[in-house]
Amino acid sequence: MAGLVTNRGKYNTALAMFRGGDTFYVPLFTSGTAPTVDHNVVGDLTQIAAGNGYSDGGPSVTGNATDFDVATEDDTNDRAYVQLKDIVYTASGGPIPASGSGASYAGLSGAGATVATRDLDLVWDLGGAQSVSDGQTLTLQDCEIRIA
Amino acid sequence: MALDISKYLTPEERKDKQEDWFTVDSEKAIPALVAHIQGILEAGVLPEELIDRTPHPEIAPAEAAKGKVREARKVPPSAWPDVLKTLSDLETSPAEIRAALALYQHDKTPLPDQVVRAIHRAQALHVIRRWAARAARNWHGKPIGLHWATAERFADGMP
Repeated sequence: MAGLVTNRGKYNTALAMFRGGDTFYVPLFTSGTAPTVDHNVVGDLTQIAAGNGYSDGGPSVTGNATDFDVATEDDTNDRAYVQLKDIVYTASGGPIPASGSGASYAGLSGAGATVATRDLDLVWDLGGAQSVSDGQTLTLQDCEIRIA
Repeated sequence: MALDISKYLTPEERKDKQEDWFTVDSEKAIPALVAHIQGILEAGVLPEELIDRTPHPEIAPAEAAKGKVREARKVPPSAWPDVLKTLSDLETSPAEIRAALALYQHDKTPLPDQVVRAIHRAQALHVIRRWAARAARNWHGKPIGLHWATAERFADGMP
């Protein structure tokens, strides 16, 4: 028999994942493969080219209140949200991406020595291919994870 | 133009928390945010409450404010006054919205006008919630939890 998940339960579920101190990464992906719910690992999508300030797998964040710095419990719509702090990619020595297509998606992945096999937990649509020139920054602002 | 988000926040006790929690008075906050955001868009200025107070080495202080204004500008202007109406006032319901969206996803059946209007209203509510979250985070200066108290008339009806 399935139980009823309360809004508090949804919030606690979100917090268990994003307050436990685990390491996550924020990779950027091209539009080469449209993400679906059936994609499991980073390698299922196409990362942008590494270089000029973008490292393979993207920058790391930690599952705590510092890096996921806004939590929301919405009793009207029965949802919970966790929001990621602003993530900045600074192009240095050339543009980001270093070559090829711009970033159309950003992901949230787990950790692991091999980037391609890191669990892919979430994907955000950036609304079009993004690229920045040398010295400029690409900022992901208030990326949100919804627990419905 | 500045909105004092703290007027709508009440400290809330939570055990084992990593951040400070506040209850948001949805009944008062949402109408205030509708008026404020409409005023910002009309005046073409930046909302002061969204200017970052903590310096970041790589992000200009006004970037978040610009980003939230861009999000708000994507919402059809007619949606803002609709936030203050209920779904019943818009002559639709969560069940109708769900059914219409399912049909659209199945075979692109056009959405009824009232469902489109409800979707735009939901977009506005989404922008309001995110705007308030950023404003509250700025005001508090550290990680924050927001508990939006129940206000059924502002339910967005989306699945």
